[in-house]
Amino acid sequence: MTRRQTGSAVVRCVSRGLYNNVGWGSPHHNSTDGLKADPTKKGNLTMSKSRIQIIMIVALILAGTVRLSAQTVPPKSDEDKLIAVIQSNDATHKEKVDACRGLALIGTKKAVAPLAALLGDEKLSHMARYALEPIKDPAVDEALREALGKVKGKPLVGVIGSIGVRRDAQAVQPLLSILMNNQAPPEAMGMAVRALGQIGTTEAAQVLKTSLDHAPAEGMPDVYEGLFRCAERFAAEGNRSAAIDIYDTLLAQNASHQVRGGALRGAILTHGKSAKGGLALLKKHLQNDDYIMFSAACQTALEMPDTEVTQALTTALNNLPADNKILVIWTLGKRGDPAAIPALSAAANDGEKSVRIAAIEAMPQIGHASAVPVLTDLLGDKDSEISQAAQQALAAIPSEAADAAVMAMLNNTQTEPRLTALELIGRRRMYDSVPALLKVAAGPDAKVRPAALKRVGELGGPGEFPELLDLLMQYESRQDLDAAEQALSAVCTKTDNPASYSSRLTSRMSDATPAQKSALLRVLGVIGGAKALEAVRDAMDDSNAQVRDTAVRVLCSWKTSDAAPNLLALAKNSSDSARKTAALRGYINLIRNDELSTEKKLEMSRQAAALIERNEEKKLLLGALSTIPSKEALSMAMAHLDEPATRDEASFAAVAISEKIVEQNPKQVADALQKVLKATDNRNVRRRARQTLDKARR
Amino acid sequence: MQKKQTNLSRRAFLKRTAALAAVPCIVPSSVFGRNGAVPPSERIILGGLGVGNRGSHDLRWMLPEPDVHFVATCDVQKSRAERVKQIVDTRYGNKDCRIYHDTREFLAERTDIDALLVTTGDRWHALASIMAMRAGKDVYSEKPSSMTIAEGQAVVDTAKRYRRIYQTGTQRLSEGNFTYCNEMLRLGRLGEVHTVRAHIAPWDAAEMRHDWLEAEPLPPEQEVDWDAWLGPCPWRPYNSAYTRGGWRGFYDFHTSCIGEWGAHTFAQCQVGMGAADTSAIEYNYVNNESGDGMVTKFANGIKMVLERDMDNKYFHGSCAIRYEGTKGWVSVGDGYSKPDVSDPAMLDDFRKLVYDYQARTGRAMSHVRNFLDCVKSRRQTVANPVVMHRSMTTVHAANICMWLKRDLRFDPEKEEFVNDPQANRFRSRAMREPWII
Repeated sequence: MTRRQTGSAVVRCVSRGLYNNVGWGSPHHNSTDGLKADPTKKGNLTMSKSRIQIIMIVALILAGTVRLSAQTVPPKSDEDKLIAVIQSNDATHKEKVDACRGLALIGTKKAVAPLAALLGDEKLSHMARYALEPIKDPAVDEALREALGKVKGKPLVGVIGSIGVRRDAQAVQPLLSILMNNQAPPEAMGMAVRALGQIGTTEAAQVLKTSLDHAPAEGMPDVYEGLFRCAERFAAEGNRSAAIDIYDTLLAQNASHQVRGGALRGAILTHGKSAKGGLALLKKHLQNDDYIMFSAACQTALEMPDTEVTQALTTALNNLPADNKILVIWTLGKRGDPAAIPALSAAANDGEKSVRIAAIEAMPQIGHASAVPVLTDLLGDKDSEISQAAQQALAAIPSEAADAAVMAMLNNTQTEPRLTALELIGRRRMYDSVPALLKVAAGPDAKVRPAALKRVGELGGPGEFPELLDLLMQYESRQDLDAAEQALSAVCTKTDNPASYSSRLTSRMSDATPAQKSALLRVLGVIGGAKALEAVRDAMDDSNAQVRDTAVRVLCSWKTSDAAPNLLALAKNSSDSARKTAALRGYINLIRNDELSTEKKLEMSRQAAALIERNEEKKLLLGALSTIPSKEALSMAMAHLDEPATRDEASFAAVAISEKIVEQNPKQVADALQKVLKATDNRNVRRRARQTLDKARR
Repeated sequence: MQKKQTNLSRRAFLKRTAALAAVPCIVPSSVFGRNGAVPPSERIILGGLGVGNRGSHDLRWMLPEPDVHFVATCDVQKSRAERVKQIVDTRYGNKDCRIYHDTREFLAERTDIDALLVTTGDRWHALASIMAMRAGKDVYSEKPSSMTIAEGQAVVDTAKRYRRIYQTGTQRLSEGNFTYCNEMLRLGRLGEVHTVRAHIAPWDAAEMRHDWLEAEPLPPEQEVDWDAWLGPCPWRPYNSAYTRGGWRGFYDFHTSCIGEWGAHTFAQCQVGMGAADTSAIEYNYVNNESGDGMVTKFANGIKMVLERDMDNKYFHGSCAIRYEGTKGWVSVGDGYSKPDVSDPAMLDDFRKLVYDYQARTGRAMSHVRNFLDCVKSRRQTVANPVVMHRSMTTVHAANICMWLKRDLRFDPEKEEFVNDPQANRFRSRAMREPWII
């Protein structure tokens, strides 16, 4: 709302005696506060003078603000006005609430007494405290203390709470009086206990400790909470002995798990890592049969980075049942201290499987090279879960020692370790291993060569092209050739201009065996380009049937439209029905190519349509038609709408085309989409059709 | 990496003393769930507090976990509690899920419950979590998880005090794409990172409302307990719209468009840049309604810019983040198949980075699973109280900057605004009796 609008609203407010809904000025529903019936005027209400004053005050405040929300800080000069509102007999509840919000932001000592006067008001007590709590003046504390003796019920509970928030040390005795008062409601007593904890002085702590012997069972959580807060404050202030005293007191209680565990944590941390203090306590409870206290000790150890704690944990490992061992192992892993590796290694090598796996998984969390030997050994464990866990763990250890161990495995004479090494090389992304991988790919182990080539493709780059090509030209087995082909394709596509490799590939064709030629052709199909296409075309006339077949397959998968004439010719003229179909499908796929004009796409669509015999190709063409923004494409798609086998594809295509051409061809689109809505049950297609139909009709 | 189940006994998770009355009922695993592969002794007994639309979403992630058994829900709105019961009973094929109406009674009676799903609405998240942790429960709380800096501090203190496990629902910290971006930053692959961009919600404004909706007749308390619904917030007359999501945009109930998405994106950015245990120290006011373009600065020199990004310059999904460094940038949001990167080659190591993160931290790529694992291991969750509090402090400070319409400086050590009593007034709000943190 602008200031001008605000001003107009204010005038309306004044004239009608009501407020518009503008933030602070919002009316309470059905409120006619301050409006009195004038018996001389039927149906009309007149306003009291004070009411008018309130309206003017609030209006002036509103008019003074640019944005009408109460978190906008009012000018400090408005304090008096807001105080006037809260003191007024005619202001509505909402008005006073909003005034309190404002005083929370700008109130000073001046506002304390007027606000304090509201502390006993059930409806306004909270908002009075809302305004008082942020005021940094001891007058607030005085007012709250004074209210303790005056207010009752819920407001009393609130006042006590605010005393606790403000940590008024002078309120300890008055709060004690409430605790000693048998007539005080339980909620007030509970809040008093909480407030004492927040105050956290020595005096408050003493009161709370005394309460341990007197508080009812339902009140004990508040006493414990209060004592915890005192202990935390003492510890923060350096008064460790006072803090420890409280924690020891809490430890001795027959209390809930969270209290006992929390007290143990507090006691250990406050003692510190001293051998006689915190460390002793930690060690003691690492052997505790009570799982709560045992887990509390482990959890506390997470907050103690010292090596002595690592030692305490690893020593404890020897004497624990399996379940507890796992918790200690998890703790050691999270703490990240490499000093734990020997103990974890021992645990990984022997004992229950779940413990062994936990120990293995903890090692990468520590991430230290000293874990590499044991993990390497465990790779050969006869239990596959153990060996797999070790492999995953070794994969994640970030160290040169791990890389070295993996490379050593690659040089092993046995196949299995070499295959594991190749997995790890890929997982660890060991780019520096590429030269070694190429050596393995050229080596005598047929089981290992394909995996090595795969890694070269993943980790290598264009620099590996010559060697990979040479390797391909040496291979005879299908496995090796496939792997070399994949690797070559991968490294070629890592450049900006893959087609530039065509010449080097085609130059080797004349020396290649049919199997090698086929592999080269497939690589040419991946890298594309005019030279590659030419080589593929030539290969379609090769003397070898396998090569010819491969060339046709590669042509049928060609990605660019320069292959279209050859594909069309093949689709029309081939005597082999499988080739005809493959060529036709390849041709149709090219229609989607973005670099083709709409006219060209339509021409190709017509050509294809004339050759189609099967529903599969009809569907493929419908998919291609969906990319063509033209009336003719829409007509071609609609021609298949009545056929059950192609109805869904035709509907989808019709909708996709319609979305593109609706503005230029609303009538044709509308006609088509009405038919589509009758034909299809597909929810998404129907939704899109309805949306586009709406546009067409507009 | 799937976290292996352990054979830790159910008794091990019974966190009760001889003084406690209720004894949990152990029933054969064939009665629970669909596969019964996990022995009953390992189940985490779960309950719900204020589980509505978003909470039901969380619940549907939790229920399929083999080591979870959901037993009861508590809500001040009867219809929501009944909906949760229906979901749970359908899952288990029985009618055993119990409904409670009063939070204090629920916490006092159900000492068998190990952990609570708290999805009450922003105004209650911190207080309900604190109450639950005091009662010995671990907590998974939806976000935004605090309304003020003081509330966040209290959550941190309570979790430490009672050794509770707590997770705030910033689930992107457990998603692969977002994790990859954070790892790229952490590992220095972006060079020296100078700017991060955090998405804020493209609706609502930083300034919020104080008006009251028109009063409607109070429904029966058993249907909607309006007093309990309001909880610690200032009283206002009942209007059903509040209880159906219409609380957004009101100062008493909401953390504005900044908190709506900033609860996620600020946490993501702060964790990513190694500032999970601190908050921004400078906030530069921008003269618009949302805080769009506000530049905040951290002590490590990195700028975090609030971005509404209405023209999709940086993002093409919701709750997005972007990290910019001297060697490149990464960006991700909801709906991305993979992060956007300044160089496609950066994605070559995507799987390695995510797998290494999981191995190094022991964390599952599932926010719910991470919480459940930590309930068992007692390790800190990925979105633990400190992460929540420090990122929400940045949210609150950004809001305060907008409300005060001027720059602010914040001291993360003292957790107060520097020489700024006016801004410090916003650090807390007096709670309506009988509530207190």
